[in-house]
Amino acid sequence: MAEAIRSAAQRTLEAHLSSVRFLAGVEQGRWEVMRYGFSSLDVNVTGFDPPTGQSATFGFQLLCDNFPATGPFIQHWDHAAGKRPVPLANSSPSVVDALKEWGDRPGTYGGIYRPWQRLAALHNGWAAKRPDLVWHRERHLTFIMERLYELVSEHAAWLGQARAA
Amino acid sequence: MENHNQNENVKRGEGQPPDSDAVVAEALEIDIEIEIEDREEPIGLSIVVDERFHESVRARIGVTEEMHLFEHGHDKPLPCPPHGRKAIRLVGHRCPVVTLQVRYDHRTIEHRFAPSETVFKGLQWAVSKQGFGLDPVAAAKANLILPGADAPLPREAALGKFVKHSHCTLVVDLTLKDFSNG
Repeated sequence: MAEAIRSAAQRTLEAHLSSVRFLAGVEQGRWEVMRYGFSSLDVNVTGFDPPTGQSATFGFQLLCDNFPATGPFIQHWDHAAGKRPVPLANSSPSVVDALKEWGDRPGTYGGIYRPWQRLAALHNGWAAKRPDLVWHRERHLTFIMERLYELVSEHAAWLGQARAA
Repeated sequence: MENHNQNENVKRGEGQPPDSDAVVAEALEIDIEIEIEDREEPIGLSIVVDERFHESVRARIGVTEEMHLFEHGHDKPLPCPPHGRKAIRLVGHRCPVVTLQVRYDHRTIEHRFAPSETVFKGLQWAVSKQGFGLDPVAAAKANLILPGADAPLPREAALGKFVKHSHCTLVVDLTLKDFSNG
């Protein structure tokens, strides 16, 4: 039974990874799969801020066990080092907040602090406050990729404005 | 329910390369997901790319009226998919250009976008110095919302999806309602 559940999750995730909307994002250069071995998906996401012309790239790791019933656990990720980088200090307050160290229990990390992230959605009733941003099983993996694209683009905007100042 | 059509004819297998005839056939075919104006569900199809690309797409989706084709998120009409593309998201729209009017703090500003450009791109412009010039804290809270609506527009959606029939103008409010903290 456990094997059947795992296989269904893997099949669903891989169907999303081979869908037109995921592949179109890859071909547009917005995201790139760096490593995949179910249930771990390592990606780079490149955001862009048209008003300043600035781009930026962040690495992320998505843990997609029990997909899509459970949304991915997502963390900022250094692919070369194979671990989470130190929290970002120089960015917009919102991006710094999203990438901060936090957890519901001492000594644990809760992942990206956004309502679309598995553990953050459970925090302080966020899921109820922003149902439009919370994961549910009818969503597509690109829902998460788009949110990551927005996050990195927000950092790009901050970089562009800092450069111009 | 979100429905993202999976194409039944995807041929991206791994392993040994196919024979040369198969390579030519694959190189000319592209998998498409197309959104038509405000239709709820996109359409998925595979199509051979040639000089009749627009006609072929229109025939496959059964559109007879005038329709401009764009790549989702891009700002220029798409005569033909760029060489080498295997998958593309398209937006088909009767408007070649959408005028986005954004209202905030008793001011209205406007900018012209392709109907395929995203709500997020419109928001990036609206909060930038070219728009209302919001500081980073305010910009992070900003969303675009239809007048009277309860929830912000989905940022990844094409602007053209929200343009009313017989119009090519979209009026939205910029809201700073704080959704960012749990």
